Order: sequence, then C-alpha cells, then structure tokens
Amino acid sequence: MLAAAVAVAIACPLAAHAAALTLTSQRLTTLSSCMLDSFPSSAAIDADTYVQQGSPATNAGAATSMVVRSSAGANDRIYVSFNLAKCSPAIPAAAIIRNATLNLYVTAIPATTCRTLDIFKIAAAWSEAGITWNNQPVGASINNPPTAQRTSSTTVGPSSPCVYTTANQYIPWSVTADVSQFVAGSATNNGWMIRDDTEGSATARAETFTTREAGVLTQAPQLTVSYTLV
Amino acid sequence: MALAHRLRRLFRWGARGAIVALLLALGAAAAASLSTTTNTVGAASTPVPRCATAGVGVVQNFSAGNVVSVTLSNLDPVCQGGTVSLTVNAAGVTGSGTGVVPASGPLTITISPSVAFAGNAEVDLAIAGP
Repeated sequence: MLAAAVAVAIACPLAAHAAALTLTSQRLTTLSSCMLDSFPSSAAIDADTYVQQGSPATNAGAATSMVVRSSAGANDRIYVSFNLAKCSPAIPAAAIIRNATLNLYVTAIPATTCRTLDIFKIAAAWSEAGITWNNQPVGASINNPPTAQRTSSTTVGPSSPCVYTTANQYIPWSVTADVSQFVAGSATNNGWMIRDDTEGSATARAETFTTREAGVLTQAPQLTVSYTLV
Repeated sequence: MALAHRLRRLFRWGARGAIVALLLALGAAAAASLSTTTNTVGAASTPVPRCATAGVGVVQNFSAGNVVSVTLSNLDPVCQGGTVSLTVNAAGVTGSGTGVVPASGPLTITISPSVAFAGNAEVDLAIAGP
C-alpha cells in the first residue's frame, strides 16, 4: 500500500513534467527584398545612359532608350547605377545578400544571331549627364574590360540557344556578388557597364533598352536586392 | 512492552518522514529539470531546418502604377507545401497576401490592397513549414 502510494507520487510529477516539455515547431524561412525602380523619371539619383563609339564625344543621358551594339567602329555600351540608400528600410551592412538582379526592358533584339551581353562592375565614378565614349571609366578600347572580369552575362537573340528570344520583356543580369560588396562597404557603388561580349562585329548587332527618361513604370530599369539578416 | 511500542511508533513516523523527504526531493529535482536551456530540451529535440533562400527571385507586378502582385521564382523545392506570407510596403502603405509553395515553377501572390509605387518598395516574406 505504502509502496503503491510512493510509486503514484513519483509517477505523477514526472508525467506532468513530460507533458510540459512537449514542444511544437515548424520550419520558418524569412527573406526581405528591396526593389528600386527608376520611376518616376524625376528620380535623378538613378542613372542610365549609353555611350557611342560612333559619336565618341556625345552624351546620351537624356535619351529615352539605350543601346548595346557590336559593330566595327560603332560599338555602344550601357551604363546604369542605382542608389542603394533609397531602400527603405535600409539594408543593414551585415545583411547576407541572397540575390540581386538588374532588370532592363528590351524593346529590340538581333534578328539573326544570338549575342552574349556581359555586365561589369564599375570602379570609378561617372555621371549620367557627362559620360561619353571618350571619357567612360573603363576606357575607349573595345572588348575591355576582358570577358573574364564580368560579373555575369545573358544571351539575347531570335531563337535557342539564346536565353531571351523575344523583345518587350525584362532581361535580368545577376549582380549578387557586386551588391554584396556594395552593402558590406568593401566596394564603392558606381553601378555597372553592359557591353557585347565580342565588340567590333563586321555586321552590326544591337539590342535596345528603355531608360528611366521614357517615364514608363513597367519598362523602367529595376534593381531588386533580396537579403536575410544575420 | 511500552518501550517496544514506542519504538515501533517512532520507526513508523521516521519512515513516513523519510517518504515525505523523498517526495520533496523528487519535486525539487523535477523542478530543476524545467530549466529552459536548450541543453535540457535538446536531448529530445530534432533540428528545424529552413528553406534555402539563395537565388530566390522577387519581382513586383504593376497595374496602373500599383503593385498588384509579387512573383517568386527559384524557390527551394524543400519548401513545397509551405505557406508564404508576404507584405509589400511602399511609402508607408502596406499590402499583403499569402500563397503555397508549388512543386515547381514560380509562385505569384496577389497583394491586397494594391500599393502605389513611387521608386522603391520593400517586400518581406516568411515561409512557414512544410
């Protein structure tokens, strides 16, 4: 009798404590994204333009379109930048950048060949209203910087194996590595330059993109940065 | 005889006292096991992994100047069946929506109310489960 009472007395508290230790949980994944869109066009702290080898001293900062072209003596390159300080809330310097994508809206693509478009991080400052072929920060030599220094690339053309085969859509470039450096402060954000992977084509090949000056929200250049907090 | 009786009573009370002391000690020990440190709980727990977020694409879709939906791409297949809760905030105005991670392909979540866009927007999402 006494032993039974002792056993009950011991078992009851243990059972109660076992129930109290039951925990339920589920997987929880979080992600934050900042989307910068150079719209309205009055948002002058974003910059997008292109430089023209065929008009080397001309600035095209006010143009409503911009061009990447491979053509002997008449290559064109795009310059674009976004001010990450526009993100609200601000992206913490310690954030882990999971994905950063630059999107440009293409309105014309090559009719016959697939072209590779490379994007490069720019090390020196430039201005939308002042940049020309002659004074561009990477210099006026074609196929420079070399392909090996590109951040990423994509392919555009009329058919497979091009990744993007039609006009009037956004074309993305991955810039995750660069934005990680910008946010962490290990590199200065001077934006990017996009050029044809092989400049100087005997037959001109060109792609046309919409600039912020066109004033069209659904075609404006975009930068989307997705991150997690430490 | 009376002395023996007293001794037996004393022994019985002593035994009861020992039992009470034992129960009190067990109670104290059990209370100690309620520590909230992970060392105590972790002995019977399993890891709770999360979905990978590297490379997840987030695209806002517009209509008449408003963000009306958000499309997520490259979602971790491990997340399939998980519930996505998403909010869009632009200039202090917030819209939200939910969806379920599909087996493959992108997921588009409708935002309600739609949010007027003017240059930048913040998208926050949480995937619960599966």
